[in-house]
Amino acid sequence: MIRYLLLLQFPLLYVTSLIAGVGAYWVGRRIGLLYFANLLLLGVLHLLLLRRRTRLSSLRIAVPLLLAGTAAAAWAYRPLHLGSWEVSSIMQIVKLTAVGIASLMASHLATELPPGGKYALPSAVAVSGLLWLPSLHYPLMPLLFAGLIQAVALGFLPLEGHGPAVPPTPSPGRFNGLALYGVFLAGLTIGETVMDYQENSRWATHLVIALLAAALATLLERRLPGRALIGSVAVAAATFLATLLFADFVLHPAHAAGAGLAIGAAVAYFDRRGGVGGLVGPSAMWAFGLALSFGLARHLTIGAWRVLIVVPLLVLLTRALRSTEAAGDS
Amino acid sequence: MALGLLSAITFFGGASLALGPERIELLQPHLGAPAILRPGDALRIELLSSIPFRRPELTVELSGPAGDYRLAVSETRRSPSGSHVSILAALPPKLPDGGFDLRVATSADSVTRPRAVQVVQEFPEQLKLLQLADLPLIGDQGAGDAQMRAIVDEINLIAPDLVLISGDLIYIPDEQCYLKLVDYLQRLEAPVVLAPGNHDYQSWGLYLRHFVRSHHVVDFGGVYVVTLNTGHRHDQVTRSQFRWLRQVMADRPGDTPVLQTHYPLFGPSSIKSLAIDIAQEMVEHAGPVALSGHLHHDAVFDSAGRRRESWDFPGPKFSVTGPAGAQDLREEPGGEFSYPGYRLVTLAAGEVLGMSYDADGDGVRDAASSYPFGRLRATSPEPGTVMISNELNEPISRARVRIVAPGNELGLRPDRGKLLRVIANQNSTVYSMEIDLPANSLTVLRLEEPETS
Repeated sequence: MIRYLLLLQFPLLYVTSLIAGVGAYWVGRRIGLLYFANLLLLGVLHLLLLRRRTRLSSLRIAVPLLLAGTAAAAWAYRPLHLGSWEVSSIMQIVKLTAVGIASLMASHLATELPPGGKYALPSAVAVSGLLWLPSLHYPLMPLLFAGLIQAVALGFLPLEGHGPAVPPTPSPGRFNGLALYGVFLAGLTIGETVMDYQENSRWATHLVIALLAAALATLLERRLPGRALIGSVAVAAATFLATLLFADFVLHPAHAAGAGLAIGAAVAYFDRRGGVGGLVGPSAMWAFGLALSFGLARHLTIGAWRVLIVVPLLVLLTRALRSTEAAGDS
Repeated sequence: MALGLLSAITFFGGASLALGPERIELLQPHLGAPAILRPGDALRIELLSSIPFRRPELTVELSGPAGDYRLAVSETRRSPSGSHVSILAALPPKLPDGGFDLRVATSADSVTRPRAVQVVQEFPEQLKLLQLADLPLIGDQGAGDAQMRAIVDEINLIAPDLVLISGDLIYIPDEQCYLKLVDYLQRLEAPVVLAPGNHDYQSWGLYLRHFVRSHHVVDFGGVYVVTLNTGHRHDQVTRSQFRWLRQVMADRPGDTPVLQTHYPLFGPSSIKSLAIDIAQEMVEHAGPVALSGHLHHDAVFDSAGRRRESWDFPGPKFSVTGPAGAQDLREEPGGEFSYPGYRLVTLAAGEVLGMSYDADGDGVRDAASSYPFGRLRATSPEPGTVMISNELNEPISRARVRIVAPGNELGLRPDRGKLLRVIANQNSTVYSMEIDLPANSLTVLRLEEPETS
């Protein structure tokens, strides 16, 4: 399970904390650009890491990386514990960027390790969800947890000696686009909850619900491969559309659960198709969804235009249903 | 084995570095959303401890000009983790009027919130409520600070029961500016209820550090001021706030709500959703008035969003008050430029008795005009004497005047008005008095030796 926790701590804890912090506490105009630059930098680093030739799980890299990740998280989180987001502090974004780099690299490190047991993925998603519970009192604590998971990983992961590595590449599946879109959608809609509640961190309950639903969906995807994914994304799409039409629906726990089902099914689908490395794509889409959510929610006056985001989803969903029917006919 | 040990050291080291040593944060009450109570009332305090699963032992104290008071804690409720603590503490049965700093301490940490508690002997039947918005440019070392000092003096002279400041408090995102603002707010003698504005989001972390919450409710006897955050550039009240508002109103049946927002519910540049829903809540709960700023000119609307030409129509009045600061005066719809001003609302039995100013002096209150700042001044030409100039077209009732007499002469009496309090300092004595000021008048108040029979 620790392997999956290490893999998921970047999208589910670090990126989500960052977006929650920016959404709840706001950022100044100039500093706001730096936060987006941070996400852009991590996106570029993510692409570079996909093409890496060095094994991150070798002891000489993994040990200092995980130690640095823990220290950076503690260093960055300390002023945020009982404190508030300092909207004009460049130092804060520097610290958070350091945490992000370590967190992303640790996530890639996990992709080099063999997948765990049958329930490792659902357990890791569920634990990630429960790690959002303390946010009801300490909103950004998952940022610290992202670091502490790296410390735990240091002791429990089967780190390897020196040697070259062949980076795992996820195999593209038939519903690849759809699954990625499901994760993107989930990130997009969950981010809205944070924007609504703002510094009242009751939004944490929605994240907990979403991630527990995601854990359930990962189990379902193993029982009903493919169909659970389509069903989950359809539920997420319905709740997302309802959110657009009836603004209060964004707060409804069912909406968080729907979004969670979509991400869980997609994550399990990628895990099944491409091993642990297959989760890297959904991680990026989750981050993208959250970031875009922040950008859109910042200007709710363009609310009607957000409907356009659903158009490609409907196309993908139609295609997926046709594929399923064709498979049934044959 | 070695990696396991390193892992454990890193885990606990990282957690200790981030969480410890134990600190506490006082969430409620605070400056900007104080607890307004009578002597003997129960004070509810909400706080948070930095270390989960710890149960801090607490002491609670009030400190004010008249002394320090240690409160008896009658009830302590903790969340299952022990990190969130709710306390009930009884105020002493004898306590003077005024604002108090609240200090809560554990064995490891203490936190003080200035002016978090306001004591009144009785809640008045007729509530005098002063509202202003869009403050002067604090921290510019020039006209803005001078204007703010004058505003504080003028409000203290008017002596409202409650001051509402409806957003756009700070324009320079700097800690020093916040410290100055906190100083000005502490100089106000009446309790202050703050709402955030869009400019306050330029330094939102600092706003929350000093004023803790963006939306809150402050009870004042049978009246409660419910403040919503509309300053977050969504230009609307979010759904979660609306739900909270409905809950707050449902929890206080029979009490009178006064709504405060920065963005007005109606008019140009108003909030873009839920305005009618909120107006409906005000109608259902017999809310007499909603107060806002942001537009930089005066206006009044009814619950359907129609702009009205008089203020005394039935149902809730949704009012917009021009800026208190002079840096950004704007043209009103009628073609006239607004002036730096404030709104003085008189409430009794859930009804508005007055809320606009008779700017043209024709004996009839205008539809929405605010009271202009700078028309009410008190000067002291000599020790023991105060001259109060009221250039407003309306009388000011229950104005509060201070006269400083040299030495420690406690037995003097004012030649008019009602003596409220005498406080002896080291080299002087301060006499506080209440007096009605006629419209367009000059009143001279002197301290005299009491007549002996």
